[in-house]
Amino acid sequence: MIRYLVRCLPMLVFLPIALAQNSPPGGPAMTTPRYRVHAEVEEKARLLQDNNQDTYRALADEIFKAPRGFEILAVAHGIGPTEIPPSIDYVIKDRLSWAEMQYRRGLGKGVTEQSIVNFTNLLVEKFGLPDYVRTSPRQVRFMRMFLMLHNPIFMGQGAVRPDIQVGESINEEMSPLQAVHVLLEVLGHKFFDADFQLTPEAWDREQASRATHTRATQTTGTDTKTTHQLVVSINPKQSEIRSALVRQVNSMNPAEALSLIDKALEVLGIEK
Amino acid sequence: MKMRSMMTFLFLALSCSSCDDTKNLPPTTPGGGFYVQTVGQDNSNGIGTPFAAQFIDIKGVWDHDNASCLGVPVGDASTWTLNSGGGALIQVTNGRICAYWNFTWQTPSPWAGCATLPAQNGYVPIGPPYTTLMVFTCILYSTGPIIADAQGMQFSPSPTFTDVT
Repeated sequence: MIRYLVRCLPMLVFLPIALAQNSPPGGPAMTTPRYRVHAEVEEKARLLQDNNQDTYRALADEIFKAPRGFEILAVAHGIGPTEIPPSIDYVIKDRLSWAEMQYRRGLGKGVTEQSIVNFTNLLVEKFGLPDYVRTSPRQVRFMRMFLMLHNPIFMGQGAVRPDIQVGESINEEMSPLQAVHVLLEVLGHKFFDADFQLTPEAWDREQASRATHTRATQTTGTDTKTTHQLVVSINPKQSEIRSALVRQVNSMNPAEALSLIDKALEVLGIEK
Repeated sequence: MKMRSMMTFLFLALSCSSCDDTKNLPPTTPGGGFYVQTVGQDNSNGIGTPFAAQFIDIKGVWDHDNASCLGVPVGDASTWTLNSGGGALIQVTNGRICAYWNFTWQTPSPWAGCATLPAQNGYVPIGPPYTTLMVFTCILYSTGPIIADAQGMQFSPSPTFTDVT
């Protein structure tokens, strides 16, 4: 219990400050989420033990297993984070869990948000994906904040420096496993989320417009109203990305696939 | 008189029992199949970002074939109820394509609001089997200033619009 509180304390203290400092004045107030998103990842982060690499390995496993919206790639085409051959999968997760331990001991390097941008855009180029799959630091930060809201124990760790001043932003740097969690979330949303399938420029415009709308609905209402809606849709961009990915990945040989994974870890700054 | 009422009731009951989903279905043919992805979206917290909604029971009831489809409707029109599992994905084996389906969200917790809503109609287009992904989203909306103060820990103002340069 004490261990749990110790892990949570920085989050409880700093997250509201960090979030507030990254918001425009007068933005809408936020509440704790009512749905559990990546709850298993958060649970494994809660169970981390400083010198027990197995617990880090379990967290890495969960990060790769978490549903991100691209499960159809695995089910229909055998592509995705859960479809990596066991021998390669073992090496990747071993490297990641070790890097995470080293980072938390203050001995390893962190990963910047820009590195996630660089790798995503490298994939866009490598696989000839549509322009709306490109990302930006703003989109990466958005997804990081989304995860921080739902996985505060895991994603809040190290988000702010102890000497943070009023007006300063959260760290641009993350731990290796946090970075992989954010990277996969960005890729997942680029695959299935129509609101995120925008070029960085179009997304910025969209966000500005939404901010105005949200402020209007939250400040002019006189009563609280909760409503639900069901929507059935087909996302044509998802089909477009799926076709491009399947075509490209099927033409890769195992050596190229391995080299790409190695490149991912290199761009993310995760040491061998 | 009483006997007559009872007979009428019995007749009505028997009539209704034969009005099940499987009546008047088109014959099953091979070549169908599609996927349904279950998604949640909580727009009440300021970040209305969709996410995979796991372990949701969905019921699919065939509504009608598309008469003007560029091809022949194929597959099985039988009613199904399937769970989306940990991957938030349902494979409707040989599910009829080039057809309209009614989808019902059946899992109430924590989706009480959506489980009480009527079925939503969606069109599964023609194409090779298992190429179509129907996205079934349960969206929660909240408006008004009170809810923001009433639900515990606050993140204020919104972290959504970060000033990353």
